[in-house]
Order: sequence, then C-alpha cells, then structure tokens
Amino acid sequence: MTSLLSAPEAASASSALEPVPANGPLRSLLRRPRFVFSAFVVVLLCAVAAGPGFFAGWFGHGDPHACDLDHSGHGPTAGHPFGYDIQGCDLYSNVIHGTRDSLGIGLLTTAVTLVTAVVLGCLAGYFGGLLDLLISRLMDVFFGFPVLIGMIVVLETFSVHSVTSVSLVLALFSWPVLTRIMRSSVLTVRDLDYVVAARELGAGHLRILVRHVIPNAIAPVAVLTSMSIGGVITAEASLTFLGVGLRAPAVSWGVQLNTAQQYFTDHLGLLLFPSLFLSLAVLGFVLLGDCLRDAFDPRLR
Amino acid sequence: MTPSPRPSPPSPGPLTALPAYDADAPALAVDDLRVEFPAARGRRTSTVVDGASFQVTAGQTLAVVGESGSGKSMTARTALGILPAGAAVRSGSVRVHGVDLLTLDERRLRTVRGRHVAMVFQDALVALNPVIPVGRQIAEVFQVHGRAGRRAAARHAVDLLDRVRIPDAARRAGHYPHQFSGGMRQRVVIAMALALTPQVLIADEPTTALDVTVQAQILALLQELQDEHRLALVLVSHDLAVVAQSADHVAVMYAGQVVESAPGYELYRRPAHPYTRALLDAVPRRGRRGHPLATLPGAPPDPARPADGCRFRPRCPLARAQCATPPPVHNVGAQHTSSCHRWQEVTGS
Amino acid sequence: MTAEPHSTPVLDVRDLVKRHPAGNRPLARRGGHQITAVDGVDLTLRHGETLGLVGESGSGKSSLARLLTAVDRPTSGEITVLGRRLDLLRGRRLREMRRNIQLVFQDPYTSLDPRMTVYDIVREPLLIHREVTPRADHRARVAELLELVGLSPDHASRRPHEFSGGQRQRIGIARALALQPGILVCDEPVSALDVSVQAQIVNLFTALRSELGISYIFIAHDLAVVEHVADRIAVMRRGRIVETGTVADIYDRPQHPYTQELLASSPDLEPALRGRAVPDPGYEWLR
Repeated sequence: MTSLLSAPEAASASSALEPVPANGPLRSLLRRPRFVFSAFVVVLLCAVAAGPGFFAGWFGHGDPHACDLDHSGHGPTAGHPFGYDIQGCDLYSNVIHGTRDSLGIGLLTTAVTLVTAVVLGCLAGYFGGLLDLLISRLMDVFFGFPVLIGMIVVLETFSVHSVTSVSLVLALFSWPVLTRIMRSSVLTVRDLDYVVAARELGAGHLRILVRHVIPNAIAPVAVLTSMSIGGVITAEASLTFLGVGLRAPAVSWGVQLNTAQQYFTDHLGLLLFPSLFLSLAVLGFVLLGDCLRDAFDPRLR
Repeated sequence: MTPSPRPSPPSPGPLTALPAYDADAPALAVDDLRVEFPAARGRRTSTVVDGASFQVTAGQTLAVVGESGSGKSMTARTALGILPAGAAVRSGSVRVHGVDLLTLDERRLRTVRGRHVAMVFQDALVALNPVIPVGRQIAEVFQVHGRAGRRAAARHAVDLLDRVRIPDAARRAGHYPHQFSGGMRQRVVIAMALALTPQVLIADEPTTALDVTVQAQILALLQELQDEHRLALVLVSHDLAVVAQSADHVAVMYAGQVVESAPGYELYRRPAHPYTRALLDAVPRRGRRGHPLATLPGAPPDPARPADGCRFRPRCPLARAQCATPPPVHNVGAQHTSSCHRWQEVTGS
Repeated sequence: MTAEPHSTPVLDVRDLVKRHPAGNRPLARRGGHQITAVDGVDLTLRHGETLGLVGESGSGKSSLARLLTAVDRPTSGEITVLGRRLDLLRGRRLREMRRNIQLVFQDPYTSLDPRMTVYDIVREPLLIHREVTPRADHRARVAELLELVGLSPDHASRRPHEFSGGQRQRIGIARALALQPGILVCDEPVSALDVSVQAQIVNLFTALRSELGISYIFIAHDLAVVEHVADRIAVMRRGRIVETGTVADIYDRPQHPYTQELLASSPDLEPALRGRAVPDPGYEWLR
C-alpha cells in the first residue's frame, strides 16, 4: 500500500488491511483523486526522508552544513531557491534534510503507539476482567494528565534529545487514544459469532486473536494511525519550537522553526518554507487516513 | 368501545385542499412505480422496484409479501417519501386519495406524513428516542403538528397508549423505551403512528422481531385498530403464513415486481404464479411432519443483474423459451392478476 | 423419520444451571444480583435422534446451546457427552471432546469471518485438530465438505460476502461437519433466512442426518419448522424445560398451558389453504 505500512511494525496491519475483497478497496482507492494526491505526497516525502542527498542536490548545493555567514538570511537566488538561513546555510537543502527526522519521529512514534495499542487493546478487550480494569484505569490517568506539560517535564529530565528519545516520549503520551479505540473495537468483535465459533472449535487464545480478532478489529485503529502520523509531526515541531524537542545539530522542521522564531520578522522564508513542508506532510497523512477510512467502510465501497 | 376525545377530526389539511384530492379514490394507490439506485462508481444501476402497482382502500388490509430484495420495503418507503440516500424514483405514482405524493414538495410532504400516511417499522427500539419518556414523544407529535398545547398533548398521549391496550397507560407514559418489552414497545410505536389519525398505516415487518405469542397479539391489535379507525392498512411481510389471517388482498413481490395480486382467500387456494406457489409450499405446515419441504432452488436475484424477461425464470421449474420475454399481466379472476406466461398450468394442476 | 431405535443416549444433561452476574462488573462480589439463564435443565439426546428445543427470546435456549458446546461453563449440573463428563474436562481433553459436538449459528452474516476465504473457514477446524485429517488431504476434504452441503468446491476461494444468506449458512454447516461430530447443536439455523431458502436448509439437515447418522439438538422459536425436523420436542421457558414429548404429544396433546399458547399463536397457513392439495416435494406438480 503506502509508506505508512512500509514501517516494519505495521507489517501485521498490512496483512490485515489488504485482504478484504482481493483488490476491491485498493482499486476503488486508486480512482479517488484525494487518495492519489495524498499517497503521492506521502510516498514522495518518504523517498525524500530515505535519500535526502539526492533531492537536496537538485539545485547544486546539496550540503546542509556548507555554510557561509556572508549569506546569512539572504533571500532566494539562483541555485538557492529558498535562500539562506541565519547561519548562511542553504535553506532548501536544510528543509530537505529535515524531512528525515520529522518523518522519522512521526513514523517511529506511531509505530510504537500502534503496537502498544494493539497489544494492550487486545489484552483489555479480549480477556477483560481485572486486566481490563487495570489498563482502562491507566488510560484514564493519562487522559486526565495535561499532555504538553507532561511531555515537557519528561523531556527536561532527558539528557539526550534524539529522534528515539523524543519519539518514545511522544508515544508515552499518545498510546491511550489508540488503545482505547482498539479496546472498544476488540470488544465488539470478541462476541461475534465467528469468534465464538473458533472458541467452540477449540482454538487457542493466540490463534483467535491473530486470525480473527486483530484482523477484524484493527481497521479503525489503522485509519487513525495514518492521521496520527500527521499529528505527531506537528507535536514534534511544537516541542522543538518550545526548546524541549530535538536540538541542533539535528535538522528537523521543528528545529528550523525554533531557530526561525527570533528572526522571522525580517526573514519570512525561515518560517515559511519549513512550515510549508510541515503542513504538506500533515495534510498528506491526514487525507490518506481519510481515504483509508472510506475504503474500509463497506457502505461507501 | 366509546369514542374517546380526539385531538381533532382529520383536519382539512393541505392535502384535502388540493384539486386532485378525491375522498372516494383509494386511500393509497401505487401505480407502475420504479425506484432505482443509479449507477455509481463501480456499481451498476439497480432497479429495486420495477413497475409495482397495487392499491388499498379504507378499512382494507393489503399484504405486500416478498423475500429479501423483493423491493417490498422500498415500495413502502416511497409511499412516505423516505427513500434511502441515493435511491431515486424513476417513474410511476403514489396517490393518496388521488393526490400524487411524488409531485409534492418536501414541505407539503411533511404534512402528509403522520397526518395521512403513517408508518410502523420492524425495529421499535430504533424508532423511539431512548432518552425521552414515551408519553412525551407521542405528545410531541401533536405539538409539532400544532394540534394541541402542552397539557392537552400529554393527555392525548396517555389516551393513545390506552388505545393500543397498554395497561396502566397514565403511569407508563412516564417510562423510557428501554423499560418496555419488545411487544409493548411496538405498541408505543403504533400509538405514535396513529396520533394524527392517518388514513393509511404502513406496517413494515411489524412483528418480525417479536416472539410468536407477542406477534399474534400485535397482529390482532392492528386488526382491531383498523376496524375502529377504518384504516387502510398495508402489511409488509416476508411470511405468507403471518399475513394469512389478516390480509384482504395480497400482492406478492419478486425482484421489484408484483408478480401476483389476489384477494387473500383466492391467493392461498388458487395461486396463479409459480413463485407464489413455491412460497406456499416452502412454508412448513402443520400435519406435514416428516415430509421433506418443497424447495425452491437458488436465491433471490441481484437487483443489479436481473434476468431478461420473467425475473423468476432462473428459479422456475416451468420456464420455457417464451419466458425470455417479459410476461404480461394476466387476469386470472376477479381482482386476481398474475404475471406468468403459464399461469393456467399453475392453477390447473 | 427413519424408524431406527434411538436407544443409546449420546448426550445427557442433568440439572444444568447457568447464572451470570447482571452487567459487566469484573470486581462484582459473588452473591450480587445474578441472572439465571438456564435453571435446572434435564434432557437426553439419543443416538440418531433430533431433539427440537422451542422457546421464545430470553427463554435460555441459546445459553443452553453455549453450555452444550462448551463455549460457556455451567454454574452447576452435569453434561455427559458419549459417556464423558464435558463439564469436568479441561485443556487437551476438552479440546478433543469438542470434536464430537459442534454448533451451527443463527446468523449467517456474523458467524463467518468476513476476511477469510471459504476454504480457510472450512479448513480451520482441521488446523485446530490436526489429528483428524492429514495436512496433505485438507484441500480434498474441504472440497468434499462443500459438496456435502450443496456448494461447489470452485467457490472455495471466495469470501463470505459474495454468498447469499442460505449459501453462507451452508458454509457454516460445512465448518461444523469438518470434524465429523456425532452431535450438532443448531441454534435457530433457519430463522434468519428467507422462506424459500429456509426449506432448502431444513431439507439439508434432514439429508445429512440420514447420510451421516448425526444426532441434532435443533433450537427454534418457530414451531412449524421444528415439527418438520424433530422426533421429540422440549419446550423451554424462563430457563426451564416446561414440557417434553414426542412431536405427536406436543402438537396434538399439549399439556402445559404455555405450550398451548405457543401453538395457538404460531402463524399457520392451514386455515387459509383449506382444501388445497398437499404439495409434492420437488415440483412434481409442475412437470
């Protein structure tokens, strides 16, 4: 399907997503301009994230660290379509290189969240009882927590602000939403006759979960997953803008926006170009999720 | 039963004011109705109602019988102008006392619903708002249509609940839908449908979700109410046995078409369409213990891929080459029609 | 039906009770408010026999079906299947025992996993009980089962949504037959189907019985259907069996007032058909 599912953690989801009627949803998806657009954006961004050097070099100045303070804050010129940042580095190649960390955080966070949500959602929804009680109350605790403050506090205690650590902190505060959805989805599937049929045949819990419950319960979560990638990318940018997320020399869109905050009144491009990419990425993922939801809804198929 | 106080007699609403209105015309007459889901991306046009015609007069019960996909519910919904999204009426008319509802605008149609034509659905639970006491839900009907003030409306509501034989109506009016059993809930829905004294009551599978004993009670209630109010009752059902006792006239639908239409006693004893006959034979009957049931091969057709000619042809044991042309409507007897080329062989055996 | 002497009991139920707490409260104390779904049921199913179980919604007949197929555990009482106490079995023994007693569901739209192919659905029991059919024979066995229930083996690669209700019910029956059970518990297997399709499935059950020698518990709310398939009938109400008897006993000489009420209110074509010839099965009347 798309990059969303190319993440290794989402592989279990991809096998669940694709079967419906052999090629029904995919074919109907390909006829929607919205899907084609969003899938194109997402694929392109992933390609950029995978090989930024190739794209950055298009205008002849691919190295984001080749800077010349003489050009600090200069506007677009030939070979430098976005102009220069405050350090005199090529802004275009910086934005291109920033894709990797921004997208990386989006995908990693969402992957961790998704796996957590599927595992905990299944435990709570399928087995119920005390386990459900514990997981549900834990979710309530997180829901009752001011998320932004929580993330700032946890990140402040970290000495390393790498892609991994920021992702984990973001995941720590975003798992309850998907888990709650997975849990309620599992709850409805759990009592359906075909699950009862498998139990009555003597199938073990693992088999029932993997063969019947997860494939049939995951659709709403999978759809939200794509949308949440967009959300996470924004969240990373916000955290970094506040100074608690990634830090230079990392190059994410958030880092660029953070640097831009003191100068953007004079050099609008510093704010404009990273935000443009950020918005495009978020739009791409959200629209993609939207299309997936339509494709999964049998009434709209 | 003494006539209880009424909100008001069937008021000269907008419908009666129309020039086409004719009090002597049938209460409901559906003529050559055609309803489609137009072709959409990846879907071909499905004709769900394909030239259906029937009529029912005041004080009469018409049963519309058919399997899933026969278009019976869709026909019923068209009569109230509540088609599902995407469906469109292609041709035909639905006349209430001579006024074609399909030509009315939505505003006028809204005054027809409830006042002239009312509907009872299969699932009483979704027809009622779960967070409002039933008495108030019924009272609202009066208020919305400007028939009564708050006090009077509440009184009428209790009165209606009493009329559908809900014991202790005054107390029950304050209860919420979930506090009623399935059968009682269906009574509440019937009370609501009768609130504005409609001339036509359409009941779409009103007893399918109910237990056998309750089903009998609801059918009896509908019959009594019909007698009291001289209702034209349209009973939509999938089961010939259920409507056997109450139907004056039966229209059998198959694949969107009325294939046979006959007075009740006539249809059961002298079916003139192989589909009717097969349906009758497939119903398990008392005293036929231990014998295999007569079966009809196959399943009802996909409305997007109808057979050419007679729709029943692929499943019909009588099918011959001539059945590839659409059968005309044959007059079998008084008010008895069959759309089968070979109806004589069906009745003759 | 066949006049075979149904002597040996294959299923014996003694004083079966199932209670569950009202609502879903994991920490609810025992002794809180409980609902009694099955309340002291005794019944016996003999070899090759069809026992009809009739009752209205809430009478506990589906709860009983879930107990008999070990989907749920009884609160108390005994279930003896082929001489072994089903309610006492655990783990591997229970799993082996399940082969003997299988369940057919009411709703053909929820009883099949929509994401699996027909082949995978019918084959699943063979994967769970690997000792029944060697893996190499699975494909042939599934084809055989599909044919047995009147479906084409060519349909094996399709998914449930491509089938009509009656065909789906046949798939469910093929799945239930995969392990060659001696007992089939059918929980309202035809009530969700169209009348013309109902008859096909009812006849299929009858044919399977004479072909495979299966004993049935046939649950229904429709007295007319049960009359057609059953040898004996048990009438259930509020968790209890109020009357048991042969078909003739129940229909011609009902003793319990509730049975009488059920019979009186069951819709019947007979009065409307008065005088009409009895149909010959298979359309001889048309040929």
